[in-house]
Amino acid sequence: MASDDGDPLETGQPPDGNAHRARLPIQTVRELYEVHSRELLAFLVGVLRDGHAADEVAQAAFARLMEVGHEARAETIKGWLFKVGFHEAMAFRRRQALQGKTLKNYTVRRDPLLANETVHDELVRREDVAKLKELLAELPPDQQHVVRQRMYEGKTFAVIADELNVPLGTVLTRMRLAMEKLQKWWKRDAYPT
Amino acid sequence: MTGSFDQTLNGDSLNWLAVQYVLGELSESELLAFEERLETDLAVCEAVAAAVRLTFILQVAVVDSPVVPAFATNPPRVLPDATVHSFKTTPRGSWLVLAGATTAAAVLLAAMSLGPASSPSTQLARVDRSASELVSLWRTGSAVAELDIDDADVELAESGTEVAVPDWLFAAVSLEQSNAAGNSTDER
Repeated sequence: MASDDGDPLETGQPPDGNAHRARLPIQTVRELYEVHSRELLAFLVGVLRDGHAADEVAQAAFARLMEVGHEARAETIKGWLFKVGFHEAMAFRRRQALQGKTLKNYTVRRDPLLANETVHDELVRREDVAKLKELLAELPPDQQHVVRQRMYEGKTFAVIADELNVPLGTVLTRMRLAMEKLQKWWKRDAYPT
Repeated sequence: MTGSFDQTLNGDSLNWLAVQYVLGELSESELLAFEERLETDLAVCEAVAAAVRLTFILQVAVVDSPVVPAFATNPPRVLPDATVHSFKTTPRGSWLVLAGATTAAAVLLAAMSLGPASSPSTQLARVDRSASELVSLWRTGSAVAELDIDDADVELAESGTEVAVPDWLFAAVSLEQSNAAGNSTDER
């Protein structure tokens, strides 16, 4: 639906032709989406504990990018995007609280991560799973056990410590050591920065 | 930054804090302090994103990984469906089972066909005439001459031993008789 002046989404020009209010060209937004959308989505899942909500808020953040993203400096656009996403997430939480859903869920004991199938597929790569399985097998048994109990069984560290009859600090240390090894691989091979 | 969160955290410490945040293991004050930093520190946001993705992948990987031997008084656990699934018969396995059963049945039939000449299977294989043809032969009295009958069967017949006549033969003969009666009526 292009006019004589061109589609504002394509040209980055507003319909009234005011150049100083030019929005980001759609191609730029598209590239930013390709580069940052998955990481932003993962971040928002961490904040909101809900894949559907995170997806919705991520879309809202990119909508804001199209509207006012030109006001951000190019070198800080990622930080800007995450900040907008975080604010949108906080606004979402407040709306949820107003609708009767308790804010306490977010601040005291947070529920396990919830992800819809689409979000999960977006964030989980098959090859990463295969690699992580190999790394898991290389961990010492006591670390493997804690990881399994926490990540699969969904037990809290306190419950795991109680069941193993060891101090909570011991369980936390085992988990921390395991996660550090996995995160080192993550940063080195999976998603080097 | 307020609360108990150390703003100087970075590297492994930050990653670990992000994991605890994602897993919901921070205290209320730690959580509020952490979220304050999320608003201003991109590195903290990135750590949370990485922790979420790693957690998701780990959850999938752990499900498919072999269970680590328990080293405490843990009760035995039921294997998840995903693990049990690997022990179920696959579609290819089903075809192999079917093929094996078919082969066994074929071998069994072959072995039976190699038995005595008067065995039921031999008799069944030899009876390939239609019922109407058999009735016709029976009616004309040429059955013995035309049917391929073993000597053993002839001896059986001559010995006077009672032979059970199948119901279908009685039915066929009755039908033939009633048809004949009908034809003679028409001719009149």
